[in-house]
Amino acid sequence: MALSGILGAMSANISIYLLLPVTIIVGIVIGYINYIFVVKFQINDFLLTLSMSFVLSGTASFVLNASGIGVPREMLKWSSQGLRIGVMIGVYIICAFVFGWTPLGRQCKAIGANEKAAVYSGINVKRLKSIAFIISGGVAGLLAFFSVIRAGIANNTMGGQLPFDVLIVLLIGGFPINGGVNSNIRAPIIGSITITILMNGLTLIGISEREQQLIRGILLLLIVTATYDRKRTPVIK
Amino acid sequence: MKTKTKTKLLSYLIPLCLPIILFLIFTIGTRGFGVNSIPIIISQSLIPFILSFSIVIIISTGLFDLSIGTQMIVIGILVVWLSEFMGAPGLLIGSIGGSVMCAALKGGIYRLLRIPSIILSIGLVMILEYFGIEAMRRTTTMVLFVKPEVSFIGAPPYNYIFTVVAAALFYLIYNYTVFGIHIKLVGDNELTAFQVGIKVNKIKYLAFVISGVFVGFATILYTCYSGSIGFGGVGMSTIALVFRPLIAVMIGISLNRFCNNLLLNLFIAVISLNIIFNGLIAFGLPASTQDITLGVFLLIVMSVTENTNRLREWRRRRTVRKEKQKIIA
Repeated sequence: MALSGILGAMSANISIYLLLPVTIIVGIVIGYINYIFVVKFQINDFLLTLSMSFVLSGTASFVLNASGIGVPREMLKWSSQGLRIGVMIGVYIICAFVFGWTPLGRQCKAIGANEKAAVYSGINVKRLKSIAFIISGGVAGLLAFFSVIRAGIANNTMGGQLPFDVLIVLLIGGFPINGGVNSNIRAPIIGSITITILMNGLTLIGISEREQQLIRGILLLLIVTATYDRKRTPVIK
Repeated sequence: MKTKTKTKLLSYLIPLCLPIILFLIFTIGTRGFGVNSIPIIISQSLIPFILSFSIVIIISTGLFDLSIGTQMIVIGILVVWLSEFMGAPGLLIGSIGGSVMCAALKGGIYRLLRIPSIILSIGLVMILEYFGIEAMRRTTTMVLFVKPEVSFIGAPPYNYIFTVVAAALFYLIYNYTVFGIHIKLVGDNELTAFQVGIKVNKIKYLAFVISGVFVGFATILYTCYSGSIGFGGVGMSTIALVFRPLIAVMIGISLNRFCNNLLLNLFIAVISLNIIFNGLIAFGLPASTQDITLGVFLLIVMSVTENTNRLREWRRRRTVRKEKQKIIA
C-alpha cells in the first residue's frame, strides 16, 4: 500500500488523473509478483508475506527519500464521504456477486476447502490463485488511493498495521482462518463495522489507546475461541 | 572411512561458505569493514541466535509464536525493576523464571482456548504490550536503565558464556532428549504421533515452556547489552523483534540440506544476516536497503531450497534426454 501510494503520489504531481490508475496498477503488479513466488517458486505464503513486507517497505523508503510526498491540493477535494461510501458499496456488491454467484467464487471456496480435491475436480488452481493475488493487489492499490487523497501525502508508514487490523476484522466478522466453504463476504463488513463502533465508542468514553488494544486482543481471542470450527480441523496448529 | 570423514567435512564447509563469501564481498568492496568488524557482528548476533532456539522449539512442534519479542521486552522491564533490589541474581533468576512462567501461561491459554497458535500469539502481543506500557507508566519514565554493576553481564566474556550455555542446552534438548524427538514427531504428523502414544497436548505445552527458557536467556542479554530497556508504545511494534531470528531460523532450516547440524546452521544464518546489515552500512547505503536486502535474501534462500528437488529433477531429465539423443544418433 505504501509503495503504491508513493508511486501514485509521484505520478499525481505529473497529472492528477494518474493517481488512481498508477496506484491500482502498482498494486496489481505486486500482487502478481506475490503469485509468482507462491505458486511458481512454491514459497510458503506466510514467509512470502514477511519477505515482501521487508522488500516493499524498504523500496518505499528508498524511492521516497524523504518523510513524505504531497499531492496537488485540488486532489483533497476528491476525498469525500460520498465517494468513499459509494466505492465501498460498489466494491462490496461486485465482490459479493463474484464470490457468491459466479463459478469463480465457488471455485475459490473449493480451493480453500480442499486444494487437492479442487485440482482433481478440474479447477485451474494456479489461474484462480493468480486472480486472487491480482484482486488483492488491486484493492490494496485502491486503498492507497483513498489514503493519499485523504491525507494529501504519501509516506512509507502507510498501511503499516493494516495486515493485522484486517486479520482481526475478518476473524471478528466470523471469517474462517483457513477459508473454505464457510467463507462469506459478510464477514469483512460485520467485522469492520463492529471494530469501528467498538473503537470509536471506547474513545468517546475515555478509554486510552493502550486499553483499546488490550480490549481488542481479548476480544479477538474470545471471538475466535467461540467461532472456530474445531470439527473441521482435527489438528489445531 | 576416509570418504565418510571427507563427506562430513564437506557438509560442514558448504554452509560456512555463505558467511565467508559475504564477509569477503563486503571487506573487498567497502572501507571500514573487515576483521575489526567481527567482534561487533558476533555481539549483535547473540540475541537473535538465542531467540532462534525458542522459535525452533515452537516451529518444530508445528506451532507459531509471534509474541516472543513482546514477551522478552515485558519480562525485561520487570527484571530491570527486580535488579534494583536484588542485583544481578535478581536479573538472572527473574529473566528465566519470569519468562518460563509467562510461557507456561501462554501454553495453558493455548490448551484452554484450542485456537490456532498464530492467532493466539497475535492476541497475546496486544495484551502483553498493554502490560508492558503499564509497567513503564508505573515507573514514571518510558526508559529504564540497568545499573552498571548488573549490565556487565551483557559485555564480553559473560555474554559469550551465556550464549554458549544456551546453545549447549538447546543442542542437548533438541538432539539428545526424548522431548526433542517428540516435538519433531508432533510437528511432522500430529495424528500419527497421537496414535503411537505420544501425549501431544503435553508436548505442545512443554514446547512453550522450554521456549520460554531461551527467551529468558535472550532477555538477560537484551537488557544488559544496551544497558536500558524502553517501550515505544502500543501498535504491535514489538512483533518486529521476532522477524530477524525467524528469518535466521528459516535460513538455518534450509541449510540443513547441506549440513545436518541445526545449531551450526542457525549460527551461520544469524552471522550472515548481520554481515549483510553491517556491510550495507559500511557501503554507505541507507537503512531502507537493509530491509530490501533482508527480504530479497530470504526470498532467494527460500526459492532455492524449495526448488532444489525440481532443479535436480529437471537436470536429470535433461541428462536422460541427451543420452537418448546420443543413442538414437
